[in-house]
Amino acid sequence: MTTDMENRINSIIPETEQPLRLATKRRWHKLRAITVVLATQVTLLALLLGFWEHMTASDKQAAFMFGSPSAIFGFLGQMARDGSLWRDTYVTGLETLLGFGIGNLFGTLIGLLLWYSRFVSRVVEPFVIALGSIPIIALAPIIIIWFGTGLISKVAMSTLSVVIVALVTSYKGAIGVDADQINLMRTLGASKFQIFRKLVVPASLTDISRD
Amino acid sequence: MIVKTNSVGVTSTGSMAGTSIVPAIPLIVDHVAKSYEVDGKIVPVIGDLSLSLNKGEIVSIVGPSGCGKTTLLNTLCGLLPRDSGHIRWYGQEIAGQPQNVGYMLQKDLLLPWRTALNNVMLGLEIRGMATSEAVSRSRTMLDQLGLHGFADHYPSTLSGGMRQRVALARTLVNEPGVLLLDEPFASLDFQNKLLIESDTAKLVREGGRSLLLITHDIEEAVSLADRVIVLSKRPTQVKAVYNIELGIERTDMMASRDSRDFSKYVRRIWADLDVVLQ
Repeated sequence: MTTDMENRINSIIPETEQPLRLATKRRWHKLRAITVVLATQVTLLALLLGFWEHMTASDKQAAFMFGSPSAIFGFLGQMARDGSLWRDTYVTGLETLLGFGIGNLFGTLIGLLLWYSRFVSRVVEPFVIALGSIPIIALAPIIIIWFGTGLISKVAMSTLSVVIVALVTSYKGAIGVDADQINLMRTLGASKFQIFRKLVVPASLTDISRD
Repeated sequence: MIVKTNSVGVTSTGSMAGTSIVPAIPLIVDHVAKSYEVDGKIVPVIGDLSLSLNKGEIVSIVGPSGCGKTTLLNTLCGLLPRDSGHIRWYGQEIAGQPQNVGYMLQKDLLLPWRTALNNVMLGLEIRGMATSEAVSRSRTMLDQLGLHGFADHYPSTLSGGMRQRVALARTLVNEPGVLLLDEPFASLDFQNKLLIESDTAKLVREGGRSLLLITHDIEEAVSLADRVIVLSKRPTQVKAVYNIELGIERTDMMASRDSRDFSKYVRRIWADLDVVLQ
């Protein structure tokens, strides 16, 4: 089909032959560059795994300290066969997704609502920064004491690691809304809630989804 | 420092100070002053400004760059507080935003997640108009501005000229008595500009609305307006006022440019602006 079209184009305007060939050449160059990068990456990975396997195969102590690729793949296969791989992946995935969902929901909600009051946002700013700079893993012991070792403590952990990021992103999106845009809404007679609902929320949500 | 240019052949009425208060006049600005505080120092922007906008009148405001035109507009809209003086909309001083006043800037400020139609509907929606009526009014407005068939397009798929037309439709659909436009056509190419200027003049004059147009473009000011107010450098005052009489139908911007006195006004105003290379 392509050659048919090319022939037809060439028969009408022979001068387009040159740009067409140029475009093909350029595409070929781009493809080659991508292939070279990919091939190098695969080679590098193989070399690393080979080196790791080689070092741990001959030395029992090293194998204990570092594990060995073949043992890891072996165990993976065993887990897949007895079904524990899928069950464990499901549980971990659920915990992660739940935490991600809850954290984003609350973080975004609080971040957007902080737009409503400059006073409140100024008051809570240092607390948010302080909370955001704590490594969440440091809270793990407390969370386990509070919630035990079950599902809830894991969900709480992933929620905590998402909530501050979501809060800061949505708050920045909310206060980053063009002042002229807000002025326009005001001249159209919009109340603060209407500005929030029709401008600030959609503007910062499109902002967040773009990030 | 301020020289009132009265000696020109064209009518120049000087300051409008002392205009009596008639409730029917859509806008009266009476000795308004406005300053900013920068690093603890008071910087006066608007010195002492008085002007008026009559019903059905188009008034252009031109001034040297940085003379505080945009500050003036935002002060008039109640978006910025003034230091002193009075602003009367239809004879009344208003706290907050005046109703029935449309506001449009150089930036189209269209909401990217709304279609052209939904952008135009914004003001009606805020006022709580029933959706079906808001849709039909907005469609009519878009049609009048030559955007038939583009109602369901998103702003990102429209050209600059079309986007500004949508913004104009969003302003006009609320049927404002007064329009305040701040360099609305400045970013458009000459052809688009002339077309949208003509449409604006037509819709404003047909609807008996008043228009206050802030612009850099002297030709735009003269071709559109019944009156051109020239502002001084900061602190801003009225330097001169010209009643533009071109003796022709005032909705065709090319015809305005062809008229006998057009370039005379342009030259006078240019001289008033006292533009020097910096």
